[in-house]
Amino acid sequence: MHEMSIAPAILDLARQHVPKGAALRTVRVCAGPLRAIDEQSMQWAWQALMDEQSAGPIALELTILPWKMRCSECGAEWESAEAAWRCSCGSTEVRPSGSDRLQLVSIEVDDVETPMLERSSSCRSR
Amino acid sequence: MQVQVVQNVLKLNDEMAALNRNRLRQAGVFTVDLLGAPGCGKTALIEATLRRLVPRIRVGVIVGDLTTQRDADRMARFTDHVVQVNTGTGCHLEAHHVMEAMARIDVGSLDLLFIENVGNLICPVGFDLGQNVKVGMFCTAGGDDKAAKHPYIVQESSLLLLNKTDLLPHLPFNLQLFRDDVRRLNPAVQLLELSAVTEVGMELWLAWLEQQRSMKTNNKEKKSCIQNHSVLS
Repeated sequence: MHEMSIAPAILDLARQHVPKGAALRTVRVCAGPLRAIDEQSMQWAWQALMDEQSAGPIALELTILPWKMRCSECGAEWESAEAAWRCSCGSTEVRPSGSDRLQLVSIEVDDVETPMLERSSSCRSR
Repeated sequence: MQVQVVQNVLKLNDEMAALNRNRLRQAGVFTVDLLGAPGCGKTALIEATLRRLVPRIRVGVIVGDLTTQRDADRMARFTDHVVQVNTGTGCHLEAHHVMEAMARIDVGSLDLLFIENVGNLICPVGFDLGQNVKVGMFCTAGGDDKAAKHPYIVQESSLLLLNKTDLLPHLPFNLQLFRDDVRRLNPAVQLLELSAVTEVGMELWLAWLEQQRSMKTNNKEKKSCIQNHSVLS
């Protein structure tokens, strides 16, 4: 349950980026598969943190990047939520690889009077 | 309103780990973060290693457990430089645990520091502590599917150990399957098979430690001291 210690790290970092006077409403986080984050556990840990701190409601939007698989036999490449062990060609010579990213991508805050540059952000697999 | 951030969530941990790493590097201490499931033999391996190396090499141990001082008591039979960290409910060590523990030992007097992480194959993997290397440990009693089921530790470790090989004749453990899973997940990682109890295979582990230390320890005086006093030399 490393999600329990990751949740406060997300909240602390997000709060550092909240403009003065604004309220934090949503945090968007991106995690590579090597971080071994379970989405349900992460949401549970986040909710426990909200309850503990009487914070919120602040939504956590979590994107977990897929594993990338490559078959050494036929060269096929594909992505999957789970590390796969068999290629459609029948070979078990499949190598999973993944990112170890764990990033706060963006936050959503209530509007404040000071105009801020609004930029799109995304969580892309590298 | 959206505010773009794009920052590492574990920034604070990583910054503290960098401070630990810098201090350990300046002190010329080679540091191993040992990871593995509860009961796989992490403590037994460190005990066997201490038995071979101390007092010729000055070794410290930071050991993480949810509760009890039992592992620290076991290690204290071999070295005075032992700190037990109790994490309470925490399933892994973080850089601040190591920083606090380092304040309780004379880091400058050490050649080698083991950080025995809390027994867990998943959670500790993603937390930098300031170590030189992460060593992942499996054991035959845990089953031959554990590497495949825990790709994170296989891919993030500098070395993998398979402990309790003395039990192989008594277990339905498919060694070739385990080796193949490791190779598929991380073709570059070295796998050493040993028994911390019978000490079969310990020479390979000690040789790996020696090689890594001489490669990664900057302090020339300590480096030559280790080489001169090595059990392998």
